[in-house]
Amino acid sequence: MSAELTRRSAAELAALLASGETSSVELTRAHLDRIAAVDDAVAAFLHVDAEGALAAAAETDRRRAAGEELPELAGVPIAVKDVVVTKGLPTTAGSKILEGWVPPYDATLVERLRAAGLPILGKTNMDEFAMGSSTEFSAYGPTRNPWDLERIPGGSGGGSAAAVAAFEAPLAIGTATGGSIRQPGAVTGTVGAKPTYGGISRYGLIAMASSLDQAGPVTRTVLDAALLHELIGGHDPRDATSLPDPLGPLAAAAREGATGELKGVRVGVVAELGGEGYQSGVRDRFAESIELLRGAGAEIVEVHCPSFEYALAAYYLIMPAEASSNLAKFDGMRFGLRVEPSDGPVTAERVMAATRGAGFGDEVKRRVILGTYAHKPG
Amino acid sequence: MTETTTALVPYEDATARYDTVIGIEVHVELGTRSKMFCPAPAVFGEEANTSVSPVSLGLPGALPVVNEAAVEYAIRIGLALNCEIAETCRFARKNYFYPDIPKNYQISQYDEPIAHDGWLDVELEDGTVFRVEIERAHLEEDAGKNTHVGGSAGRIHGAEYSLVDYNRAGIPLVEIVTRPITGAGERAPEVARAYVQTLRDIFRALEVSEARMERGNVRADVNVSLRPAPDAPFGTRTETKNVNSFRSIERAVRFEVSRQAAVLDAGGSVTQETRHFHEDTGETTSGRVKSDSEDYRYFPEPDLVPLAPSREWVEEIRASLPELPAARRRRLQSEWGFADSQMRDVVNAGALDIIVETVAAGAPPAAARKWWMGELARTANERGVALAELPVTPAHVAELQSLVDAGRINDKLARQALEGVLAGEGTPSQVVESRGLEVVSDDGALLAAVDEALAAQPDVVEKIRSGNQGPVGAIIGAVMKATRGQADAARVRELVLQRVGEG
Repeated sequence: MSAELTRRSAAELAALLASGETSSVELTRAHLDRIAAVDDAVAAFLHVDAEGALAAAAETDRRRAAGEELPELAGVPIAVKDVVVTKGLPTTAGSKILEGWVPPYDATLVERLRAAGLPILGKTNMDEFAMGSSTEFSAYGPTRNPWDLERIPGGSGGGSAAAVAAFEAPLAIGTATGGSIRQPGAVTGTVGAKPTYGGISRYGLIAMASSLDQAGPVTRTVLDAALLHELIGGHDPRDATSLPDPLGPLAAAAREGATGELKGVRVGVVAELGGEGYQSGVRDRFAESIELLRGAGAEIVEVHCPSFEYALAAYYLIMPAEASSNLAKFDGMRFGLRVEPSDGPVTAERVMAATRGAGFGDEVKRRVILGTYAHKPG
Repeated sequence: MTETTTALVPYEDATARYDTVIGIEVHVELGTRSKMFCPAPAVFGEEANTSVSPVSLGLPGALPVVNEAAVEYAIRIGLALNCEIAETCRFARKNYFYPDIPKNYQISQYDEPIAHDGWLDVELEDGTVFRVEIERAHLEEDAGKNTHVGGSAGRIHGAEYSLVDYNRAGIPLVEIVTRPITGAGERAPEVARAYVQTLRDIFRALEVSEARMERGNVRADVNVSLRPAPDAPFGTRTETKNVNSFRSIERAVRFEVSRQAAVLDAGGSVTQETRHFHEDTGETTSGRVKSDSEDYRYFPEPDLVPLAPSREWVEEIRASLPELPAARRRRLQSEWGFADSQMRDVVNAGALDIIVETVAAGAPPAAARKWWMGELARTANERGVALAELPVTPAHVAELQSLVDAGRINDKLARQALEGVLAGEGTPSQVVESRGLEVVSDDGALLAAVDEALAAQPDVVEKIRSGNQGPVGAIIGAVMKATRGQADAARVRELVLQRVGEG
């Protein structure tokens, strides 16, 4: 039963919970067992919270037994990328500079997960401060691709993608600045979506580039991604860049699409994405996908986004510029690592320098320095 | 402090040879309930680090959200300073590392302030009006407060360790920047002081801040430069930081004028730097050298969307602005019929509000002014307290005057009654009662005293009888003396004339 449970989609598990065929405690225990069995090899998790997850599961079971109306995913366990702050659970963003830091507050999306009764299994590995595409640049060691342990799971959210691919969790939270949700999804054969900017609150997301960061679902099915997106998305008054409009009916659309009947659905294909710089395999799969959609009855229309031409150049300026400022707060003064200089006076400036020197990895330092120059006028 | 002290040039000599240009940056802490970018209460004097939140501590993941009340206050200030209110403006990050800045950047406004291009008319003590041009007023968040422990005089140099209190971090500030103030000449120190004082009064009238200088609610940075003549280019300026009393502002400008004149006289050049003002010596000393464009690596704050106050909202705020202090003074002066000099004295003595209250309590304005600017000002001065701190209320003064006007006491008795009130003996009526101060206008009692006085001075009676009314005063004086000042003088005069006529 346990092995079977971990192979189900979140929507299927939700149905089993709703019908009383399983409990959240049973589901959570099954996934904790799976983590215990495979995570030494995969290394998807930085921190597993068995006790907290089981307690949350028991609480959800109690609420269900009491007849409370619960969201569809209530009771389905989830893994959270370690760049999202979790009250009472260590949060490192894959960096030594936050080693041992236990946040005193929850990110908005974590609040929503907890309120909906999803047990949090633990925190997943990532490239330090989400800077990377392979999860090799975590200060706590690399995560492996469950399909082939000699390969990378992509990044920066390799931990969340690997956890879902290895059946350690049916659902996970990822975050993306460039491609940190989708690229690991592609590399591990899972579903990852980067929602429209402002669609999911960034409150409690440790920022790399505020203008670009966005959290999103990491799952094994499109429907699961839609269900999770609906659960964590929507306006948040604590994030000024959060969109005021309610989300569209994502899960309904996913269910409709799953029937294989797409008549009346119009799909735009951005012409500028068909240019140079893609591997032929990638381009071929993309073209095949379009044909599949067309075959299912969708109308395919070409759309133009002329500014896409500048996207990469803009990204490489905005990302380090904002990151260098966002990462300034990691200075050993208030939280996390504090390193005093080994010799000479212990002044605030020297403690900040020693802490940042010891706490940040090379890639983080590169981007901070690059971004600092990017701010300089003239 | 490693500074070669040049002998100062006497102020009058300095201003005779150089033209002074000043510029003033004023920070005012807004009295909003919560902080600029988070719901933590904006409070003063609480236990350290208790009024904080993930946002005001700059914890990883926390995001700012603009406090609407702070925006409204900033617009109020902008409108009161005759500024244009931006249709859209952005916040910017000012990046620098310092432990009292939790994020190591301050959210401020850079090239897009919420208010810009205004002016403020400043009235000097002698009534001269000087117009100060306002370049901009922008919103930002305050820093925390460092306390340096050990070492000397609480300064960072030589301290054993430093403590940081983040209660103040994130309290909303409006920074108001003047254009270079020219044409003030030797009155520049006075203009600087009057400008900040006028701003303080405006903040209070607008109810955007308690504006208490001693609490640092209002902080001024004063820029000073000298040039050989009013048509010469600006000289190099210094910026004296955080000058926190009106008197200090005036002294700091005077000192810098004298100091810079000495540097220039000696053929040297003024260093562009920040300077610290020392209350005890009245001197400024060198802080840090400032490059022309100090590099704060400003860039638009990506965690906030642009601020776009609608024109309707701005007009609503404009319509709801209270009467500003200068207009109020003009109105009151005309209502009260005070001369310019009388009004200036009232304002300079800080007696305006208390006279308003006294008039509201029923006293004629002239009487209210007479009491507060006379007897009570003297007492306050002797006791070294402000008028409002005396144990006399505007209602007491109004009551006192009403007793005079009703003829129940005369001026002399009124002063005695006031003494009683000041001594805590109760209201004026109670004091009149308990001290038995009421004017005696009962003819029976008065006639006895009049007869006695007349009998004692027969020569005077003769003079009056022969048509010379001058000496009546002497008789009245004797009667007053006999009744310990409580006689109704007018009635006494009538009785004296009547008695003499009868005789």
